Amino acid sequence: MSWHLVRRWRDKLAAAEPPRFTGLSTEGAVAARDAALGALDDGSLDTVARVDVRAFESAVVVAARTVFTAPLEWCAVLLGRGTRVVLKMPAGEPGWAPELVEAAEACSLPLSWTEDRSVVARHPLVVAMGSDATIAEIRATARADARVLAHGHKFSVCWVTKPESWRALAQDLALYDTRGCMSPVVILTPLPLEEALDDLSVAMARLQERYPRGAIAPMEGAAIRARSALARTVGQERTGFGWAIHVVPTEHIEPTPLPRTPTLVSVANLAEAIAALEPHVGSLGTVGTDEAGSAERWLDGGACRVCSVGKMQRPPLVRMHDGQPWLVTTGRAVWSEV
Amino acid sequence: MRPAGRSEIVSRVEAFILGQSDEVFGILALDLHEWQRSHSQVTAALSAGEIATWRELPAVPVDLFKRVPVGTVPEGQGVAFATSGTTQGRRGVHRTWDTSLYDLGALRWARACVPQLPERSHALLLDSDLHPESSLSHMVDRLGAVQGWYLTETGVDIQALEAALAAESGPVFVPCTAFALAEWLERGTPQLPQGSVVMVTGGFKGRVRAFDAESLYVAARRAFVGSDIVTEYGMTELSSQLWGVPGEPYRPPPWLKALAVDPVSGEVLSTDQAGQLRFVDLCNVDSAVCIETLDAGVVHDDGSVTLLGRLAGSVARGCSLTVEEAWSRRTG
Repeated sequence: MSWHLVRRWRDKLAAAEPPRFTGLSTEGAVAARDAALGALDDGSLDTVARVDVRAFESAVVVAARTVFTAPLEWCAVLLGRGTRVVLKMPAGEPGWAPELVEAAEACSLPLSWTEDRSVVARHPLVVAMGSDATIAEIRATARADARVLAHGHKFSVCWVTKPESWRALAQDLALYDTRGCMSPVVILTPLPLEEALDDLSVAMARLQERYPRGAIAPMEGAAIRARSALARTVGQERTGFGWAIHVVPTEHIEPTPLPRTPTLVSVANLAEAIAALEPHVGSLGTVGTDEAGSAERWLDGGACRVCSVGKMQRPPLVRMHDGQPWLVTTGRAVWSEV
Repeated sequence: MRPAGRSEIVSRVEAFILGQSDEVFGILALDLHEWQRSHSQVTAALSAGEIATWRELPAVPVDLFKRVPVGTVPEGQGVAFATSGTTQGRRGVHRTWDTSLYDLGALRWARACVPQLPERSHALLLDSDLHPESSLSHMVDRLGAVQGWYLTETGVDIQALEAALAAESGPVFVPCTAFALAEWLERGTPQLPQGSVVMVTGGFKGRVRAFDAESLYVAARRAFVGSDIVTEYGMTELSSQLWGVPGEPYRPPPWLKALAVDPVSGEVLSTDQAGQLRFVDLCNVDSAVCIETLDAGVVHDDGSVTLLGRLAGSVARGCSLTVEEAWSRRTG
């Protein structure tokens, strides 16, 4: 067990220079890093340490491009148990991996990184994040006896019923520039539409001042303009420097995240909101809500996780992940009757 | 019912294509846009303020063709061409009241770019009778007498293709997607009568495989000694096509102009700067005169276009994928 080393690793990362190759602005990268490291608090690590599983000897964590901190919690849990971990990063996009590894080496934790795809075939545990196509390829490549924990495309939404929630929601939208699977891609609200647009616009503009949006990929720019065209045709649009809000009818909901570009959908009530997501329910991940009583309804409606508005991208370490008991599945469950 | 004023605008475009008018491209493009603004909900929604030149025309992203009816033709009426991006779930639909302008422009520019185009053709494409939604097959059908269609659900029917070609005594036209040509070169024994013309269209990078364009052309030249290889760039959402030869920029017809824009800001770039491609196509009378693609490219001073492939991160789609999907099914 290496939990004390993981704590040291966490503290070293927190004190390091801002992560470099994240695609986010410096302010955005620091906010995302700090949010992710914040989940590795001592109490949570103690709780994870008590989960009764045996460590895999080694594991490979296949990271996606979107959320640069995504491998952090997986590495922390695996390294804490004594598993040797290899981070497989997308070709040409090392992300945070070099800094994670450098800090780990300084703490004598067995973490390394590579761009070599064949590494997937060499470990008994494979944790994979990425597109459905990537996941399918990884499953085909992994060795026959490997355990593959795959996390494909999920999208998240937010249910806002109180005007005071917009500011907190903007935090969810800003973190990782809305690219993560826990970012609210769609916001559903029964509040008066014009007021909702006004309030959310103000919140997003303020957030842009504090955490400027980072770089936009060519395809993202094109996709934002395409969605803008759709909103102008079938709904309406509000834009500011570094952000946009697209209002569309429910039949035009598109569960694909675009940086700082949420879709706002006006609905009459919670039942209508849940029904609006029915065509996409298989990919529904997190639901942020400011209506405490709605949690059960959202879980029944297909959500994997329900949390408060403003906490969507700050999941606690001890939780289910995509509906899976990840703290258990990342170890070897054993049962001895002798 | 066809909207008022359509026949007048179509006549003007026809005269422009035939070289029978002294109209200026930019004026005709602006007039067409204004007409569309009056009759198309999408164009009206995307238009704002005064437009001084054709370079400022609001562009309709190709993605919008998947989501709403674009243009003046209601669903269920006219002729509908559809994209082949079947694994995306939604297909882009481009409707036109009739294909007269499409056919006129396609034939005229193909003959101008490839004067030696043989009349008889063997197409490594989907049968236009079975797939009337394929604009590519429609175009090929108009360019000559198609003797056979050899792209099936399971890939290219190489045996039938080569048997039919062996019976030909004169030059033939062989239109094919890049993926279909690659399959033929890989699995078959390709031979063509002297003077034949091979037309290659479609992308080189798909969902399950990608290959190098230059290598494909080298292999094709080696296989088809005595024949010409030409390239074509078209898309479902456009009514006009660009033609070229391997390794050189595509040439647009006089009734189509290309622009490169900054993919993030949408601002028009100067010539010879790489960006996201937009096309202003006078033949798109019934849909939208200005289309924004998901392709990257460079527009040169003479209007020709060097294609650089898909924008970074874009989802693969296009004609070539029909073959690729067949491969995927066969191997997977």
